[in-house]
Amino acid sequence: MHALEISNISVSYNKQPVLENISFTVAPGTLTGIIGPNGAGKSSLIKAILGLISKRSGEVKVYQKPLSKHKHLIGYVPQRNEVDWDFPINARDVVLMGRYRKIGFFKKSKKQDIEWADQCLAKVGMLDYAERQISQLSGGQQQRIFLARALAQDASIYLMDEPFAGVDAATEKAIIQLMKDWKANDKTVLVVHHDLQTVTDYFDHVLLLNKQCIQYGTTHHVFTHENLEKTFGGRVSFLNQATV
Amino acid sequence: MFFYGFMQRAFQASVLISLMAPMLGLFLILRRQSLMADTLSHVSLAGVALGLLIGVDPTWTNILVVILIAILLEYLRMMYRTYSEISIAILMSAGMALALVLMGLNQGGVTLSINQFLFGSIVTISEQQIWMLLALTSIIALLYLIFRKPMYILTFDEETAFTAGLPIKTMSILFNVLTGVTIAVIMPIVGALLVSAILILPAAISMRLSKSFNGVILIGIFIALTGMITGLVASYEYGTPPGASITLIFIVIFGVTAFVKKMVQQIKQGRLFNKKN
Repeated sequence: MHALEISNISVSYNKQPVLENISFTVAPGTLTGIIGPNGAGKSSLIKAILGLISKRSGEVKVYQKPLSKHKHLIGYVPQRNEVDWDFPINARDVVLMGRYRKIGFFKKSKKQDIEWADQCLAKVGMLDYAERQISQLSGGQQQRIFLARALAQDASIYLMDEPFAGVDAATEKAIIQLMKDWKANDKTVLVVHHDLQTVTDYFDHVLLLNKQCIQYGTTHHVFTHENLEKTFGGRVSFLNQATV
Repeated sequence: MFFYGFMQRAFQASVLISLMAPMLGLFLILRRQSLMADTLSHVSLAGVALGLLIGVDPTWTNILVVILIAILLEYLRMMYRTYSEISIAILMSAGMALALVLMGLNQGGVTLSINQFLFGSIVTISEQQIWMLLALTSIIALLYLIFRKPMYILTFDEETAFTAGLPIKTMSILFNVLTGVTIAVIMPIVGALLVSAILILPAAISMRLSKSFNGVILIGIFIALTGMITGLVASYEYGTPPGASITLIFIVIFGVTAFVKKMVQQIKQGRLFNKKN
């Protein structure tokens, strides 16, 4: 059974096409890197899958059901700069947000929910910062709080928008460990990723995107110099070492 | 001054407004909608002018017009996502223009009434308004208690709120409507020009003093009470407009808080520097 089926997604901004007929299917327990040049529509693809931006056409199925029926199976980690980090809330409360759906939006968080949130914080090495107001955290620490929130959600499919952007080594390590854990637990992860040098280390599948789906498949087969040239045009001479 | 019925009502109103203002104000600030209160107060002037023109109690026409515009605001906010302040600019000028045109159509004793709504007046507070305020404060407090979590997530991260299955559009519209109704109810007391200051300033000041959500609201209530009561007393003693007096006191509190905080920070940094040496 496919974890995610994307059929013919097309998106336009102000009549300018951003994504054209994107179709691919993702198997459970895979780590997919979404790769493409700036403006290729990587973030737009994630947002279109989630229904955050309107699609001109296309359909998304999650474990064979329409997205609306299985939305709760998806966890989303937005780009760090998309939220207000001056929000008067501490790290633990942000992580608890990931749990709201399970706790119930109108119920008080119980002791076990708080313990669960703390376990998630511990997994990303942020338990000592649980009481910190989020503006007092560094960029990497904020990213780890987002990861802990995703972890708290206990979703089946995770969509992450550039989680590695501008993070420190400790955070990078935490993200990689988390992705490995998710894979081991048969969870599916799609990550918008920029750094071509690390693609083969991090991901077992790759989606090459440049407004259209250039190719999707295992990293070994898809992440080749030839395909990268198709995706990035003539700007890939510096990538020779990155490809398989 | 407490022998006067109107002053008693003014103080009752102040306490009720102080309880609700920081709750709404904090969400307005965090949702980057501080100016929405200003827009709605300008629009509500049109509501008042309409009421006076057609001879209906302006409170009700005001509430009706503000609700309509609050809904429209959300659509404009979605339409101009990147430039959400455009909706504020369009509706603020439209509201003011409509109010002036309606006033122009209604010749006669309207100017005095409009002045009351522009600048607020202690003597305009009626028993009915106190009951409306009491109902509104209770509703806002109740809604805050019930919808705190969904509102947290909607305000912090709208996209995640959507993926979590929350009806973000409906929630945003209802929040705007609640803000609109609040403005329509408290506008005759503090005046259209300064109603947003009363809503925004207590929360803005307390955000500098507390880093937790409930902390900001509690300190905000204390600041609002201090500003409103002192402002009312000053207004009574010196015959100054209440809305303006209250706002100026808030501005003074804001300045003093900023100054004291800066001093405390510098003293702390100085200590740290001395320790290192």
